[in-house]
Amino acid sequence: MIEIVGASRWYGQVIGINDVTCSIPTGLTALLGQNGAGKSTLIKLITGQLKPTTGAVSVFGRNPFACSEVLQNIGYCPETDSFYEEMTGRQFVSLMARLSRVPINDLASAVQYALEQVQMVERADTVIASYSKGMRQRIKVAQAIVHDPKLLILDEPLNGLDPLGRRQLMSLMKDYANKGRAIVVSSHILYEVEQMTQHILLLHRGRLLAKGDIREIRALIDQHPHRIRLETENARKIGPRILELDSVLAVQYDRRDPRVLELETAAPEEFYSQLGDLVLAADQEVSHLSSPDNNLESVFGYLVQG
Amino acid sequence: MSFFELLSWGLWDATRKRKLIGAAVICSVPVFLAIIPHFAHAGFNPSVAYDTVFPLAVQQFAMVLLCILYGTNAVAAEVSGKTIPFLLTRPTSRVSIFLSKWAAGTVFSSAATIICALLVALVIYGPSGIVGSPILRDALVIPVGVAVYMAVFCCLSTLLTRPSVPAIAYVFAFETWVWVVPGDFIKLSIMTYVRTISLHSPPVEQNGLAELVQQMRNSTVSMTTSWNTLAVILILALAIGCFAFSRGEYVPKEDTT
Repeated sequence: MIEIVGASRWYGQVIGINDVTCSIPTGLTALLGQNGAGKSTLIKLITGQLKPTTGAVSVFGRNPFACSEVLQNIGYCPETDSFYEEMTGRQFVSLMARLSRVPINDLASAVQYALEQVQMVERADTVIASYSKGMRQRIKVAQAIVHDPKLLILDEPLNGLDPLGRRQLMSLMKDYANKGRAIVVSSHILYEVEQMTQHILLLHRGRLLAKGDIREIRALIDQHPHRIRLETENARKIGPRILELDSVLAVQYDRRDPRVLELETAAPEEFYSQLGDLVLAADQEVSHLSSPDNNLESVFGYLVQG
Repeated sequence: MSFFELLSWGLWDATRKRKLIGAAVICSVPVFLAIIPHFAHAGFNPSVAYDTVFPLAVQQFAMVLLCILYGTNAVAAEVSGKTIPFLLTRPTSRVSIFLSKWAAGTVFSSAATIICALLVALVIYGPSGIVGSPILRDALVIPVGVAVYMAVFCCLSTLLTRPSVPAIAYVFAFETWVWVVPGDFIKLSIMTYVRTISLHSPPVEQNGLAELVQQMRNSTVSMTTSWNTLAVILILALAIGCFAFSRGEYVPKEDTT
């Protein structure tokens, strides 16, 4: 759906993105990176607001810059909190729908449906200037989905939303992705991204640091062994047996909780396959198993610092 | 989205409260100036008063200032207001958006300038004398001047981040003082052609510097030349504006640093 080949974008002496190559398929993809990492630049290239200085960006097989055929199928929710303040939410979404070529006969129903999706029907007829930050965010999402695009691009969409609003929007995005559409969501908040999708593009200082499944990315970081946390009846009884496994590098007991141990492994898949037999042999019950660093926060930290 | 829908949206944009207040203030200045000749010591001559107030206060002040207000903001205000991404990520052609903004600005500024001119004529000639005044002729010519200035400033708006600065410099520095500069520099002023088609000659001080300068000029601008020149400027400015807007990148400045 989106193909980016060697794309770089400079703003004078400042680099926005640097030699980024990736493809974004259908489903939900998160664009992750700290502020200034190049997320918004990449989004502007995809939505045809900017041209790459070098390289190429193609959406639906075409260059998106000012291309009506491509833009017809893109819904874009910008990060900036700017509107035509004197308009009501409904007027604004209607205008955006008409600019997106929603037929006049379908306009009212399309606008109503989009407003329902973001729970803004009740406040849709008051002026945007009176909206809270969360409401403005919802209206921005409504204008992005009003023409039922095949590709939805949301730049920091969860900013300003309360926990309920976040959950609703995440659910909306997942539903959209399940319909076979492509959604690109940018965020700098790792736990948000983790709740939405496992497929990420990680940007840092304009470069694409990693792409793919969070767990796959994690597996690539060999120099940072996986930590696995086990909770058993007696950790000190099973610990020595675990340490005998070739896949395990270290075992550490929890001083405060005798049932818990944490191990380090460079081959988690191998360890998991051996664990069943080991538990049976030791006659111990494992009540809880978790991988504390198999999350985005750790992945991000390893990649950026490592 | 049809052009007329875009136009009506542009007109809605033009009549937003802040812009409307700005337009009202601009248009009130010539009306107040029109009151002054009533208090002249040498006797009040409505024709002389109108021929002074209309070109200077209505054409060269209110009309061009409205064009600056609406023309230079056509694109630049969307960029600085950060609403531009909503427009440029839609399948509606950029040329249509640009032309609709120019058309809406022209319609609104023409209407505002005509109302301003009408009030000036009313103050100078009074309700009974307005029928015999040149207001009807001027009202027909105002949209031509507005369309040309608006096209130039809309064009500037697509090319520069702060187009109002050169626009103000051109109108209030160059066009104001070019009348007293010897040579053919006057032909670089749009106002020269606008005044020629509206049959309002430039103000000439008897036995003064302006009269002397006029005598030094070896050519005058004809009516045909004026119409042709204005048409060329209009088409050229719109063509450059359409070209620039359809190929340009318009991203709020903070997003590029």
